[in-house]
Amino acid sequence: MKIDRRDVLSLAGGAAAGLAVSPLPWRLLGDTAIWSQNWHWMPRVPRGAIEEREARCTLCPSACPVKLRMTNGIVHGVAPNGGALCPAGFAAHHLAWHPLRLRECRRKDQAVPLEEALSSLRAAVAQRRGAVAVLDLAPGRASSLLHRRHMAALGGAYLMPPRIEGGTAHAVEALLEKRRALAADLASVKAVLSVSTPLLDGWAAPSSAVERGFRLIQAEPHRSRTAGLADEWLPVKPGSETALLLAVGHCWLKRPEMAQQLERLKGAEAWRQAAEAMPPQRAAELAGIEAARIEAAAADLLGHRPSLVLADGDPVGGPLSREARAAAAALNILLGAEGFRPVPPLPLPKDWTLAEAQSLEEAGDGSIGVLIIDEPWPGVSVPWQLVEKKLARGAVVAAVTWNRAQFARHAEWLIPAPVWLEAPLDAAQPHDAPRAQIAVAPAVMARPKDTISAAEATARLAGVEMTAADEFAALAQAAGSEAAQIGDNGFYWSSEAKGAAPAAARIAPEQWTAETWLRAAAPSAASPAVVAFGWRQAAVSPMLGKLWQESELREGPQQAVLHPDLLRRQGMEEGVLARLMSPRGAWPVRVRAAETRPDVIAVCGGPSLALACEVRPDGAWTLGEAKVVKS
Amino acid sequence: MRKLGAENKTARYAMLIDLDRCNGCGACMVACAVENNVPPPQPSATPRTGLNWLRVFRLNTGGRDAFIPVMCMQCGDETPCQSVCPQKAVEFDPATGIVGQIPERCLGCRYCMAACPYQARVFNWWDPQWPAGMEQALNPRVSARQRGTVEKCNFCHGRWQAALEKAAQDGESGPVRYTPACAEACPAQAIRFGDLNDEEFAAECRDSGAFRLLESLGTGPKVFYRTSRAEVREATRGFGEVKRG
Repeated sequence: MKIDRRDVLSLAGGAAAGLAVSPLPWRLLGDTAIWSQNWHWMPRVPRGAIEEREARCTLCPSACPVKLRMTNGIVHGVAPNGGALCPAGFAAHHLAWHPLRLRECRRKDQAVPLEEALSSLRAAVAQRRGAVAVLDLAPGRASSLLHRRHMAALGGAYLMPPRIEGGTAHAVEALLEKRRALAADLASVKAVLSVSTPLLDGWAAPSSAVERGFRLIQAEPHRSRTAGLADEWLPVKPGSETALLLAVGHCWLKRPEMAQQLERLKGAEAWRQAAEAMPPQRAAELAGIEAARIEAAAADLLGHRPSLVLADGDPVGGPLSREARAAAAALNILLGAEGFRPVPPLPLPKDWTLAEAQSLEEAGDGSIGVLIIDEPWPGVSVPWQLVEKKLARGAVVAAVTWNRAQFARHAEWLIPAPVWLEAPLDAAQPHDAPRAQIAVAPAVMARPKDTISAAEATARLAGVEMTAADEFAALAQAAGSEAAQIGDNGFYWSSEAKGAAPAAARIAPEQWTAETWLRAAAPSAASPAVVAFGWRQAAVSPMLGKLWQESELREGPQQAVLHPDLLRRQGMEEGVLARLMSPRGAWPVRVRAAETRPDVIAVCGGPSLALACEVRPDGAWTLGEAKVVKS
Repeated sequence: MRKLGAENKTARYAMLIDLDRCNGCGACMVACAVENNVPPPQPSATPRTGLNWLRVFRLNTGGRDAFIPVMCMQCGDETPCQSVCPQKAVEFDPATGIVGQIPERCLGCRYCMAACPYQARVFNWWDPQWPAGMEQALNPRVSARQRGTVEKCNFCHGRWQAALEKAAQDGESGPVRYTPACAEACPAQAIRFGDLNDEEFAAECRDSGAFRLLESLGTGPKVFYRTSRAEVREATRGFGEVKRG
């Protein structure tokens, strides 16, 4: 048989046709799909049984109950457990692998073993006994009690940063006949005048209050998320908050019951003079809004009792001026502090002695020889300038921190701290509900080598025999049967407020004159004025970038918001990179057009934005002279 | 998770979103990404190129802000994306009413993105990258995302599978009840998930305040919206006809 070219071609053609109907090409397609999912750079999904555990999210004072979904000892999902969670809560387990996570103990640029760092710090403490302090950047936790106990043993000081959330409550506390810790009772108020306080963004209680239909008036230069959801947005000029609040007081002065209330308070004359000198028309000129809107806000607060005035400021942008906080406190005093309730004390073992809690401002300049900074979670924002001036020459600074971005830049010793779910860590006291709580989340994941919580570190320095876990257990025991166990080493205890706030003695701080108020009533002269704002939880996980980088749902770190007209005037386009220039340096920002005052640029930042801010004599900080310029 | 009535052999899963309750917190977006192993944004990602199965848009109503979560509408039999896919990578499952996306078959032509009137599909431009170690926190029930394919919401298929397995273990058959991540996450309880074969849920979806996006196209979307604010309904007109038939 002769085989010619035609036969060869027929065979090849037939083979090709046959192959096409055979399973081989489909198998190849299928295999390619499997290969493409298994390239070496593709992440491997963990395999194993899924188990569920209970915990509490302790990254903010809400301390929400959560269900953890775990495989092989690693948490891969967080879900609410009979409540709700904020966006950060769903990605909170990512904190353990955050790109900024501090993973090794360092002295400046050199890695050192943890034990070496602790012995060096012990030696520094021994040398400078009496000049030791711990700066607790998340005060109000059970861990804060441990710090105070350790500082009492060491003869050191326990310091807290300027209070932002709860700042108005703090100002009201100072005016009471008998000082008690207060918290806003947002669950029962019917109207709130909030001045630059992000009530609906990062606060837990108001969302349920909104459902009840409470009236919210938000005074703020830019249309923040809270302003956008409020019943009324008063776009006031930055710095005119005191004028606005005095004008509300001016409207109230006409009411006989208010005049009567004022009669019995100390400091009334100075405040009355200031309020009388600030009619709504004048405040309207200073704040850049209509006088009728100020009068309506004043009437709303009296028409929807109980009502509340808050001027806490922004957690990232910083507290409002001392005068604005005092002006808000004065209005609350006139309202009988009905929006606040006293917070019950925390349970304490009988044999514990605690160092006094002091604010950072109260510490003497140049008085601290050894400073331990406790930065337990993301979002703490305090300008370094506030801390620096309190340090003695040659002071030793150690940051026990989860990250290597903020205070780690200034500290000589960087000590890695465990994060949520790696060690029993606890949440701070709520500032939006009159409740005392201890919420210790259990440790369910292995903690990295050489990590130590700040409470454990201060215990080691003070020579306290108990471990932090033992100390928490002692607190749980002191709390008694009301403390509910969570997992192996966590627990939750809370106590609701009872009764009303004590009567007020004063309406204004001692030695304040009308001039003190009025001096602070003028708005910022800068045009456009640059203001800072932010969301504390933004740094919890890179996943949260979905909300501002991969969508336009909210503003995120390193974004500047301008009115479209101002954007045009500045010669910039939406989405371009610009620079935030402040006397302290330059930072890149991406500009966005949004609804805001046309003479204001609002810069959204993470905690490092505090580095760009100027600290004022009253301890508040602002972007002040900063500018946003085309890059 | 509960078995539906034995008379129903199939389910028609659907979502009812109350826009009056949504406060635009974004918890649903984050919970969706974490559940479905969607990676964090790449440095150069933008709202146009980002990988979001669910996106919450802010509506300009002139008054108080309103928000609208938009995801795959799980259209009915006339699914536009399915008819254009040359790879059969889009499949409508008559047993659940869910439009499935099969990334292994997808060759990334993006015809489906062009065909989708809701712009609910996104192209995956990058290999998934996670900060070192974070890949340990991936959801074991869902595969990692892969570059060069189109992605979309599948009503949390991994959770549906898990519910199905659980039902099988319990000796039950037929459609199961489960909750997708976004509905579980919503702190305002604005997102409700159910089965249109469930009379009570179907009645809520048919209620006079409810509407669907681009209903006039006849795609049979199974995501329903509800609002009592006329200006919010007006603002959704950008997505087409709002009247519920």
